[in-house]
Amino acid sequence: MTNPQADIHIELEGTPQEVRNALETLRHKLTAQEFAACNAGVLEIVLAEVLNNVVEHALAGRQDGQIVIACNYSDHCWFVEVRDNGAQMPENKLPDGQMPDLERDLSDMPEGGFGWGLVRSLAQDIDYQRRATGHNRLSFRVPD
Amino acid sequence: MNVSSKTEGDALIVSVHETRIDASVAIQFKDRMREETDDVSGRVILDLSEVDFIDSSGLGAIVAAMKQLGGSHPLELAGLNENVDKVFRLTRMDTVFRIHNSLTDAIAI
Repeated sequence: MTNPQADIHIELEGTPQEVRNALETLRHKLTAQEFAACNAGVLEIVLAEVLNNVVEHALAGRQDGQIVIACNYSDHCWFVEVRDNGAQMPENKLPDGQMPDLERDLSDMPEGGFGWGLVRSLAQDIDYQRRATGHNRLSFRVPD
Repeated sequence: MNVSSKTEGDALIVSVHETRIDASVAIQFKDRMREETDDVSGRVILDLSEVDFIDSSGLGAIVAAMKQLGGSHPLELAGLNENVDKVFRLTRMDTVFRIHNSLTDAIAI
């Protein structure tokens, strides 16, 4: 499904616990290999938000959700690809990533809606494609 | 979700003994915060010094904990590592919470 040459290749099922395990695996690989200085923290934040969105939206209500992550590092940059077998993005396009407005009373303070804002703040060249095979393919890069 | 609390002067210090506050534990975190701050009388300082990662769901759970406390018991934060601090800054939540450099600083006020 993905390039086996990927520096980091992780496959997971579409649940919050699997997302946590995958990110812990990612962190382990990042500290074990020569990538420790390569903006690993930012890569982890972006991947967490992307994976949470896949689990909460594209794979909502599904028992057979599968996600594949490939991260390649070159030229001071992480090139990341995330594929899943979930539903298409609404209107076939990515969320705009507007951060929620915080100029409001405490009781109305937003508890969500930050995910895509974080992705758009930290990742570049974000591309989304719906494949004829029924998969979503998201790619982006994270400079170090 | 391992969370403990103790009183220092006028402040209740709630310490999170977990490395991650993420989507898989956000609800437990909110529930544990409610239990720990049930009969609070002063300010509350959330000690995040053992936490090395939060995602937007974890952030949302911390916001929910602040809202549970209501306006009379502000939730202050201490011990944010670089990545945790980044999530607060990028979402502008650093303008909503009072953030201390360390627990020692937070208690000294």
